[in-house]
Amino acid sequence: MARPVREKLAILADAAKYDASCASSGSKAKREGSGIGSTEGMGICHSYTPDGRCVSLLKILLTNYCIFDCKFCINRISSSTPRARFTVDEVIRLTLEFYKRNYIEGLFLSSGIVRNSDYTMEQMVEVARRLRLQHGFRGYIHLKTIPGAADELLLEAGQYADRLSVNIELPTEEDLRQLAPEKNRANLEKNMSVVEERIQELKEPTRGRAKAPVFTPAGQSTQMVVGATPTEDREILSTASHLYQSYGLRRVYYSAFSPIPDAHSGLPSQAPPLMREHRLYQSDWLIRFYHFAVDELLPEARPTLRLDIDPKTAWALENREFFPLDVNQASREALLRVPGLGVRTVERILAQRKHRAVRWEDLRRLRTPVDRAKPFLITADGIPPKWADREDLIRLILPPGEQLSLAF
Amino acid sequence: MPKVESYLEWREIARELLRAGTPPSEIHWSDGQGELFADEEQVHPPIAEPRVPREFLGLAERAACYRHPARWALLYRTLWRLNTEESHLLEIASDPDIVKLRGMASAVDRDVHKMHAFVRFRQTTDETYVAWHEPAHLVVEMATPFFARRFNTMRWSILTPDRCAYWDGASLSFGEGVTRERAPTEDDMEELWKTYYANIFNPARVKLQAMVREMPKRHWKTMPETALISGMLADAEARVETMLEHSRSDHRDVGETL
Repeated sequence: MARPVREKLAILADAAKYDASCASSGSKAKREGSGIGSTEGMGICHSYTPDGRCVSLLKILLTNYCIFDCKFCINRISSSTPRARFTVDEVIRLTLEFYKRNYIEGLFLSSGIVRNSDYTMEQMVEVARRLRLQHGFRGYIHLKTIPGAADELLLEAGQYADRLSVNIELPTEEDLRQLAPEKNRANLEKNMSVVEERIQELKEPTRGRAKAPVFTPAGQSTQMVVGATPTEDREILSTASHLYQSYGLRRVYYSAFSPIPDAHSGLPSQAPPLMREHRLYQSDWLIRFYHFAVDELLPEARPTLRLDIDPKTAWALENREFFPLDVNQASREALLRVPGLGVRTVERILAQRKHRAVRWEDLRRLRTPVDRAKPFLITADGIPPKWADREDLIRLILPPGEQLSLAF
Repeated sequence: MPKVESYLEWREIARELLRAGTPPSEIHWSDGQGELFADEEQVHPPIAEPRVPREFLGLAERAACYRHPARWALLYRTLWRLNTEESHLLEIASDPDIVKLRGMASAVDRDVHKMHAFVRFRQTTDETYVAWHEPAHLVVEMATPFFARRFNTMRWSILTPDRCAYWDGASLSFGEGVTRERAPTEDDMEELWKTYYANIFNPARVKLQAMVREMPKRHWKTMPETALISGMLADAEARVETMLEHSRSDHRDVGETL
């Protein structure tokens, strides 16, 4: 007998929560249709759970039955977790009713693999197709594509979805071989490349066609599990860099391996490495928006991120010859490398110094963590940088709480 | 002096004062109205054609929604300085007036965003949707066109203590604020929504501060799912311990696999 919807929802939301992404940003698609919904570019977090995570989308699996045996996954065939399967109608109804009450920005649908890849992908496309065409739904849809699904299905999915993603799962081919034996890198990257090729194709100037059709306006993303294998941070970030460059991904998500009920023996049994996950996100950010290279943050000799300080401060401490910089002279790119100066602060410094020299008091009013920036900057006050040559600089610039506690 | 209750009213009055060359120190603004002090102190020549950078208009419109009487005086002082030899004032981000002005504007932006996020509609018997929300600032007019674009095929009302917004399927209108008793108290979908909320939570990653920072407690009373939070936290530790115990007892044959 089929389970009641409430029970299915409990099982299939629980099964979906290991996917870190819940983003609903980056889509400004003007879709046809007269139904409810809008996407205006800025994502909205409609709620937050006590794990500090944003609830933006109805994030569920269509089913958690799965023929694969990925060892880190709660839904692998050999797990004893309770199973459930939504009908297409049930997912559509939940999405629309939640949306109308302003609980969510839309749907993030993923699925265990039943029968085969094409069959599973076709079911997911069916949900998106009917939401768009039958109900005129214009809210956000994120579909997780199934490795090995036919190109035509991926391309149809892209017509309805704002974002497509496929999880790279683990940072190296070898990690995959050990923990997700049915998946391989080539297969996963093929999904990304089919979608990216179409995105690029549609960017070319149109002739005879009024306007390019809507196709994954919020692009692609992926996720990898961190800490399930001994792979180093340097390799993790190199893989991420490769994916950003090759497939134009908008985001790579890092998910600290989290203990799951009925875990496969042979996986680490420990609290998830949340601080490491945090440092990976910070590094990813520095690479994408601050022009840092993986090799700068993690030289071959030191392939692991420090947990006690953020990666920008770590870089500054190892590259003292780059400093001090004159806040009134240095270039935008150089200022972005100063610990404590973010993109917005740097923009404001550049605007102000055209009219008036920048002093420490100005930085303080802009809420810059002045203690952290002090050893690296010269301002119009004319005070020489403090502590710049001290061996124990790190202890001087970090607030006491941050030095020791690696709070999770 | 006419009453000042909105950005547009302030703008009219401010333009007149500026044209008359009235310095900020000569005006006492209070929420609701502005008063002129003795006129004879005036020393500045009239400013015939007041000008401001485009960015100021946006900042001023948002800061005008900040729930504090000091906003009108701050706005006028900034306007005055922009027109008296400090035309690049907005670029001096560290100027105390500009820090305050931008601070007010971003507090308002955040409140608008939180309204978009935290409004919860409840369906009533006649197929309309009604929400009760308590904004921190005076943002009802600014925040509700978003709902008109998004829920254009529904009929809905958003009730607040300050103002109420009504959408009849074609146009957006506003009325006086009301009390909470006017809003419905339940909706059949809330049980499913709470089921979702409870199950999307990962008990192994509790980060309470991160949650409260983004979802301040002042909003909890209008969001049905927050009733579950204390229970979820109380269970979290035990759930994680069970998972870890379970996997430890399974660990006898490790070694070879990894």
